[in-house]
Amino acid sequence: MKNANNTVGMTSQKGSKPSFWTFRHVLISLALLACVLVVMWMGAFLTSRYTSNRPFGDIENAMVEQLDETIYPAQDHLALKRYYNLDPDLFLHSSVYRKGDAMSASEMVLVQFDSPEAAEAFEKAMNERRDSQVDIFSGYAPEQGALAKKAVVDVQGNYALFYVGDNPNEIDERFLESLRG
Amino acid sequence: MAFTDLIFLFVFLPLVWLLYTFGFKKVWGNPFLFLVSLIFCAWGSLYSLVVLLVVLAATYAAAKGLDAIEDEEERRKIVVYTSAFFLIVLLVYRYLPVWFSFLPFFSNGVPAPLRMPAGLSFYLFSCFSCVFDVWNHRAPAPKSFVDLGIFAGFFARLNMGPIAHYAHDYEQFAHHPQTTLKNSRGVELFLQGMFMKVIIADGIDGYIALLAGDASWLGAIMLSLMYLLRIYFDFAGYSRMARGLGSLFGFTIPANFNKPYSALSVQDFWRRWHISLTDWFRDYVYIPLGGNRVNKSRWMLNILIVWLLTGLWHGATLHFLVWGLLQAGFILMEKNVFGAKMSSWPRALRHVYVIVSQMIAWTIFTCPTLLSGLGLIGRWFGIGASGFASPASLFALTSGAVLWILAIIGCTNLPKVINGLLRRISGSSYAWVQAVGYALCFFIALSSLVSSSSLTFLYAVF
Repeated sequence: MKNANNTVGMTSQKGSKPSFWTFRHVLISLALLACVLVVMWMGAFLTSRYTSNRPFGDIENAMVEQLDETIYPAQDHLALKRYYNLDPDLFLHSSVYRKGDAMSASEMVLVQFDSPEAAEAFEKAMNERRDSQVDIFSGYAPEQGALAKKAVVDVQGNYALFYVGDNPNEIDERFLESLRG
Repeated sequence: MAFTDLIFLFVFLPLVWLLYTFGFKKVWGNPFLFLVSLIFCAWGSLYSLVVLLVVLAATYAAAKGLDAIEDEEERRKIVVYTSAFFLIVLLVYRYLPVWFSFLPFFSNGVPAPLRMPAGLSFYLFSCFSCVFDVWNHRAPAPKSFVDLGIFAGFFARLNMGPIAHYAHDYEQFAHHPQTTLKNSRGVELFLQGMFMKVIIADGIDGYIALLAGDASWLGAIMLSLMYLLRIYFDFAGYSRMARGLGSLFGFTIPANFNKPYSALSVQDFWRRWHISLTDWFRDYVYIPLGGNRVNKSRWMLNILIVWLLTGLWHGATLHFLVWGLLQAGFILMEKNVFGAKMSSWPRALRHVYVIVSQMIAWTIFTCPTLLSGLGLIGRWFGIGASGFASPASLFALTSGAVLWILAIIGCTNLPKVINGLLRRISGSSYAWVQAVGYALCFFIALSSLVSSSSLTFLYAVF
């Protein structure tokens, strides 16, 4: 059906001026496009979340060592529901450290999970928590609002951390180190 | 973004249609439609957009090269390299995460850059079609990248097809006028599809959840029947919505379903079910393999290859392969065992044969594992059944009676007959009757959507 070349103005380039699309150019284009995909796929490997084999107690101890327990007292396991509207049963383990009063934005939540749904629920709930805390504290305690603004929400392969307080970057690094053991 | 998302129905679609119809149509029609299709694609994930653009660019380069180069050996090499490129993309997104799910890398789900972009299998097959058709001189290369983007990535069929056939469709790129007739037909098709999906398919889905753990004989039969009905109303509903959307922008998207459960043989069934996929495998796999113009054993091998690939297209797990081979088995049986005698069977018997064969096939297709599918089929024959009926199965049978009647009628030619009767009875006021009917369908479907009971389209995973 060579005559298809002349339908509705879509003329073939054969017989007219030399086309840009030589065999060599087509191969180079395909190779460049393949490179784009390979870079994206490699990026997925390099930035994938870390899955730790260490028990929850070890990670928790490593994190608690960094905290002042007068500012971060441990809460019962239902605190996850009370403060963050997250079902504790969604996670393998969870712990919440914060004061019971509403005067301090400082808090730390550590969870271990085994499903992507739990990870997504945690990330969503903690992002919402951070935003609402920023709104609440910016009115009457701007220094606490500033802390909430710098909150760390770090979701890894099977552990996740939410932290509001001083030195958030150091605490996050400590969290990642503890996962690697 | 799905067609049943409220943001699509009330923001995206009306806005795009109004801007196109009253603004961009005359000068920037295709670039505008391509741009909004890219936005539609990127809505789910930016990675999806990157993959779509890369696949389109590869197709464009290959098609342009095939059009310009005269050396047949070089042209053949371009087709081979482009096909390998597409197959690697398909392998990475579609199969690797399933086959290598045991690796720690996938232990917490597939990372976002490796999650399969919505509709990948559909638009990749459309791109394959473009490359093959230009290679075989069935059509010229697309005039521009935008034309190719409209062909393979138009938002109406980006997510779940129908798969586009380049040689059939390329003439529409330059000229797809909107007309009042196309607009009204588009609205009709879209609303029909929406009703099929939201009211019937999603309604059946509620009963499937109810009977999923039911071990009674009646529960097993009903569950398999529900699988058969749901997949039809879900996918045919989507396809009809896609055709309606195409029509609203002046395109003609061919029907993807033609009353498949009215078929008289499995071979006939596959001429009526997911027609764009069946046509694709016929044109680009079966016929190049020799079709039926070969000796009998080679023809049987061709059928097996085509259906194995069709199964693999649907999924990387064993039950999809078995489903594909089962369809091949039915078709081979019809040719080799039943032969010409089949045409002398009573029509009712042939219908029953098609329905039962497809109940078996869809049960294997839908159940999460091959064993659970076989277990469910076993209960049809009393193997492992807890009893004749359970309270849940009786409840499903009685409380869903209206839904079952509606679904069964919807599988037949009766809606057309009823429509003809209405037209005759209502005479000149038929347009009003029709408008009221469609408005009613829309509001019923909308009330279901607003109550958030609508579910994602089943074929979105393919």
